Amino acid sequence: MKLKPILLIIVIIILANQTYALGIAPSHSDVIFEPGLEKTIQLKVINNDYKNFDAVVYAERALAEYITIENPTISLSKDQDSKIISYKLNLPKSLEKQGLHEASIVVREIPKETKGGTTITASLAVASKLNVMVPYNGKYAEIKLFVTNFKQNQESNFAVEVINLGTENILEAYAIINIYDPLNNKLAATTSNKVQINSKDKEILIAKWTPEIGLGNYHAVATLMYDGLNTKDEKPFTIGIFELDIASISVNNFKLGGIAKFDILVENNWNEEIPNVFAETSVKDDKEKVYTQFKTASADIPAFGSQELNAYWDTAKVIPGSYKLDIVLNYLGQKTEKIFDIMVEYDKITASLVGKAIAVEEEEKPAVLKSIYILIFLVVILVIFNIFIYFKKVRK
Amino acid sequence: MKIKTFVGINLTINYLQENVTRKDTGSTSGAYTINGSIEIPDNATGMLEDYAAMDNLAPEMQTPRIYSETNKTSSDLLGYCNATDEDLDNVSYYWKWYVNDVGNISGATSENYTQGKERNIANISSGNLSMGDKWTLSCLANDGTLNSSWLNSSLNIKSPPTIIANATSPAIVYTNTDWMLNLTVSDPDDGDVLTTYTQFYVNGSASGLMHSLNVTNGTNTNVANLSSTSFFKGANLTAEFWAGDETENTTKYNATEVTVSNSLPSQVILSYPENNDSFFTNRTPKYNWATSTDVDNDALTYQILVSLNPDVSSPLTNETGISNTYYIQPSELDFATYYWRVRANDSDNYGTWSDIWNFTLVPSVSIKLTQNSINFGTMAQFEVNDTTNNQPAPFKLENDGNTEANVSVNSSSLWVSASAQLNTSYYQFKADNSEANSFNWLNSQTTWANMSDISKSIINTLNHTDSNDLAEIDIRVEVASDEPPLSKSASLIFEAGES
Repeated sequence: MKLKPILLIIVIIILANQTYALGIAPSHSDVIFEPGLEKTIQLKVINNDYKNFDAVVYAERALAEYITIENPTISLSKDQDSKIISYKLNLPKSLEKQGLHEASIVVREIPKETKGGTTITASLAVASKLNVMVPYNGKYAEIKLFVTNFKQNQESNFAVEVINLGTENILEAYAIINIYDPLNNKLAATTSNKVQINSKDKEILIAKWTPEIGLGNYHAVATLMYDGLNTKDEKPFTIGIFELDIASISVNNFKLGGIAKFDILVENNWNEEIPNVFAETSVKDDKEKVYTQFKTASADIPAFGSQELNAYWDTAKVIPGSYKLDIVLNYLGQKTEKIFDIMVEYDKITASLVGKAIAVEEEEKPAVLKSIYILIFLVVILVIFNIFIYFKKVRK
Repeated sequence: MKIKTFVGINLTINYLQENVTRKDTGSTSGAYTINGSIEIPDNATGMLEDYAAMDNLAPEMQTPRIYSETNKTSSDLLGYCNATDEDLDNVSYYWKWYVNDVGNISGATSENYTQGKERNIANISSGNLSMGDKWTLSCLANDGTLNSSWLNSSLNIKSPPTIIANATSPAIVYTNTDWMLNLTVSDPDDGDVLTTYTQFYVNGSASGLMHSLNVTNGTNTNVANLSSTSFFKGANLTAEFWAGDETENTTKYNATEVTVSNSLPSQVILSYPENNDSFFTNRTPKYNWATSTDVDNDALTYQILVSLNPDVSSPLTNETGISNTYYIQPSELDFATYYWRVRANDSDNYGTWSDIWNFTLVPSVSIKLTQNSINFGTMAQFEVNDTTNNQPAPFKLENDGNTEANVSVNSSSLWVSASAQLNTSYYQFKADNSEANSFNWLNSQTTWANMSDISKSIINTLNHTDSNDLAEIDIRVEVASDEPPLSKSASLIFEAGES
């Protein structure tokens, strides 16, 4: 019976590693049409899970006839995280319609043999689009707004990428960026520099902005004004870092031996309500002996508001002295931790901030390393398993 | 000795010495003492006629001697003459002082001196002396009849050395470079051994021992270095220096005080994302660089700029005060080519910017299957099974790419029965949630649809963010009444493309 959990773990681990992945980058390539354009485009086939596999590469959709795949079949080994493939594009002298023309370059895994029973075996295919844009007659521009992580009262930039996809030059283009809060109230606006953009050219417009509004989530709407025409793009962005703060801790009406009620004032400097905020508290002495652990009730903290969370500590067996109060705020999948020095006296508890600690991010590990770790883990489990079996047989 | 013949003058001669011949007697032998005197009345006329009855030799002048206690302007020059006279005549002296070969003062002694004895005959007081002057004493002796020749002796009034140039280097002192003192010492006196002396001070306190070094006259020489280990950032350095020529030192001088400047951190070397990576797919890259060094051992922070412009102007990201050697882009970047660079700051100033690197962030579609087959086992006629109850488990698709993806599906035929070919309800599929809000539910195939060998859309806009990038693909199979009891298999393909 004791073997079952071990076997279960092994099975879970083996199954967990039975993944099949395939990727391609870029997943689209943009080309502005030019008569008779010849171009070689490279793609990266991604072997995220370091598997051996073969694949076919082919083009489909409207522009497929203008595409030549250099290597229609490829093989990737478990040692390769990716492989660069390429195809040649030979555009005709003209394409009838203005606007977008497309093709897809598909990399399709060649399926392995299927098993017995009623079995459905899946394999993967990924496609990279080829977008060929035939410039529109006259003036026509497309834009892409780039935003950044703004900081309060610190100037930064919006960038607007403008591509002239018209047949005519744009004499003057500039962008107006309007900033809206989550309720769509317009809060600010800024304007970019002005540029001239030749047909098929690309320009970057920059609009400087210093946020003089509260921290939070916002969205920016960029309107490109060009020679009497306009076009828009919008993006969400943030000002500052989303983080709740413990503004203060206080204990009122305290008598040693009784229940200490910690009033933890949590401040939300964000422009949106933070729901279901709770704190986990623990009181320790200098030797890390834990005296109490407590989880507060949850509370919603309004935008730019504060809310008190209450934690309790029975001090019946507590002697006066200094302790550490560790508070971990939990909200929206995030944690904020603060440690306070607290001084317990007969009739009062005072608290002062020691420092601030935020959970350390785990270093990214390449997929191959993860696989190695899993393999090592498996080997260790198998060794333990064999030892267990051996001793069991010996006992019999 | 001379014998004079006086005409018309009463003469008394006292013979004082041997070996003389009396003119009047012709006697040459015997010892004579001639005591005589010449009285020449005021009204005497006539000729005083010399003739050498006996050989009177001219005195011979010895080299005069000039004595100075110091050879410098602070001491008088004492002039000594000395002449010998074979006749043992007393001598008087004529003397001349020359300055730089130009006559200065001259005179004669008023009395006769015993020959062969050096006599101080004329002095030059120190007030008349100037540094570097050449004083010459010329002496002539007279034994009453004959003169000696003039004989000279010279003495140069010594000059103390002078420091004609001093310079410290480098102009800006850092904690990794020694502070050097160069001096040029000049001394007009040939042959003097010139020595420089240097004492360094750090923040007003003497640093180490005094340095001394012999130098060549008129040559710029690095006379002393203050080791960089002796000072630290912000320290005030100065050097006291002087020179000497064994007899006299110059006054002491102080070099211009310098403050040890802050050493800038070294140029940052970037490491990741790799330069010119045109297939970069991480939308929240972790920019990495090698630790900058700082000779002052200051704590360093870093500044990173990320821009769409090749010169990194108008950056979208401008982060300062980074204490790590990496920076994680806090929110997803849009697809574009980015240019970035980093520099270190030691709290006083910034080091040099790193090279500018670029990477092109491209969209990628990457799809992952947690299992690649579903086995319904042996199925009997009319039997229906599907994966909605996880027996067997459905396919699970995860979007591992960096952009939203659409997924379509097609399959080969599963059944042999003619009534259960593709595009019938005997082999169906649908999408289901595995994580909330992973895909566009309304535009996805979330009810059973018949499987086809032509790709059919199944999932629309599958998210790529880790918390909700997973979807289930349920499969439903039904065995037709005329399906022969053999193993059945189908090959299904999920094709993912950018939304």
